[in-house]
Amino acid sequence: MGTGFEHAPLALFTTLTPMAAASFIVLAYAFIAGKPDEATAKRLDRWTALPAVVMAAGMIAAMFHLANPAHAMFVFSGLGTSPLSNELAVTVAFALVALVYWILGLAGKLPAHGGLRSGFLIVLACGSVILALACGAAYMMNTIPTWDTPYSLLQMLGYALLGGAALGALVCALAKASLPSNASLVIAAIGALGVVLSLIGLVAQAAGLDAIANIWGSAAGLVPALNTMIGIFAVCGVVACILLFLGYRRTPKATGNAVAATASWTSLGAIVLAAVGIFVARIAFYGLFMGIAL
Amino acid sequence: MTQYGFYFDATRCTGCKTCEAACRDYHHLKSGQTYRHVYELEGGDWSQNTDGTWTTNSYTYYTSFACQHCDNPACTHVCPTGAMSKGENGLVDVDKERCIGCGYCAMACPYDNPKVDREAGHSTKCNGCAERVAEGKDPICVEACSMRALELAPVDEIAKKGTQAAIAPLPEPSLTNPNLYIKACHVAQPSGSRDCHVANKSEVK
Repeated sequence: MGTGFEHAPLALFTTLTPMAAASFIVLAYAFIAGKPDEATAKRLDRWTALPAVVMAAGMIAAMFHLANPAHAMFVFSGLGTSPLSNELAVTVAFALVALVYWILGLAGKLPAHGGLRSGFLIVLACGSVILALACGAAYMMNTIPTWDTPYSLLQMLGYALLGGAALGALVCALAKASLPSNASLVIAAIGALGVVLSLIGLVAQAAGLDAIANIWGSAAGLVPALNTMIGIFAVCGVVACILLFLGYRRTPKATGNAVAATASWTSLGAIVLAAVGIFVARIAFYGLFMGIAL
Repeated sequence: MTQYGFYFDATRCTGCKTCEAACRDYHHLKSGQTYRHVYELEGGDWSQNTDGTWTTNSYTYYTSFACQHCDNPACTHVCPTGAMSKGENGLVDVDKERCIGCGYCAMACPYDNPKVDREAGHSTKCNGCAERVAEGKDPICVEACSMRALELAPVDEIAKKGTQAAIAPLPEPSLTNPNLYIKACHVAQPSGSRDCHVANKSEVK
């Protein structure tokens, strides 16, 4: 039992990596529905560096959690049995596919339209969902009753969608991508779905704590500020979604580059709020660690 | 492979914690660290009789345990590197050359045995003093126990003396199938009981 902050590197990893992965959902939307021209596609590929940096930052943060990262080459030995091996395998596989996609894009080998581009993006978008679920599943152990719940999965999926919507929107805005007229609604809806799923997961997990106890006491007392932390996530998430909605909203006076400029600022605000909210919620999650007996 | 396990006679243990001290000393552990813990469980109450006198049913009992070298260890299942594994005599140990110190074993173990030593760069835990056992000796905690309340032996033998550990504060044995057999004292509470509490929390947590 702790405060949750002792797992801050893991909280960073589970905040940053899923959001970087899920930003490809918005990129898939931008390419498949937005049908960008080659010049815009090139800019989008350049700004795909942003998710790459965020994902790398998440993975580096995870390394700080390890007492001996030098032995990291053994982490796939538990594939199939260890939920941590499974999580890392999915993460590394996703990162490799994303890297290949990014390199091909930068090298001009990926046409803006066509099966290859769409195929990559659909695989990455679906892969991001699998990655988020694998991150959640890594904490489902029958000896840790507070974590051993499907709500751990739901939370991670929600965080990925919220963070991914914000980060993906920022990439599109910085690349001055022209998105379909309903983009504000679609991107905000992805974020909002994330907020709703996460909140269901958080509230349901919190509601079940009264029924969990070990020799040291009730799980309900593990994180005294739990409700406040869930509240911080909710406020951050809702405001982030409002910003995402406002970002790509077209007005008679704001079109083209003007929309992209507005969207850059609103997306930046959204990603900061989403990251803060998710990080706070993850710290709360780690604070809820409780062994089944001791 | 003969599976070894610990036997603990709760009717003999006085809670002297010599087993803990011997473990700490033999394994060169830091002050306050030990692979074996002695939990003091207390419970009961006082009640006033109709004639004004008072009666108590209060009790104290001790539970000394380390790693149970389980048949179905949670630590080995979650270990991503395979560093945590069962070796000679079924004793669970850490391969320091593979461990990344992720702490999953420490989180998963329902007996709270493995710990991550960040300075050393790997998990540490009770290995049943495997090197001593290989030489035909007892683990140091067993040897140090002046009340002869501890034993390490093939499970077939200790199963005749006690029952698989199912007393508080230990978890239900069905979780990991621990190789810890206990001769419980008459006041011992069943696993999961909330009628008793740990009286020496600052020593064991």
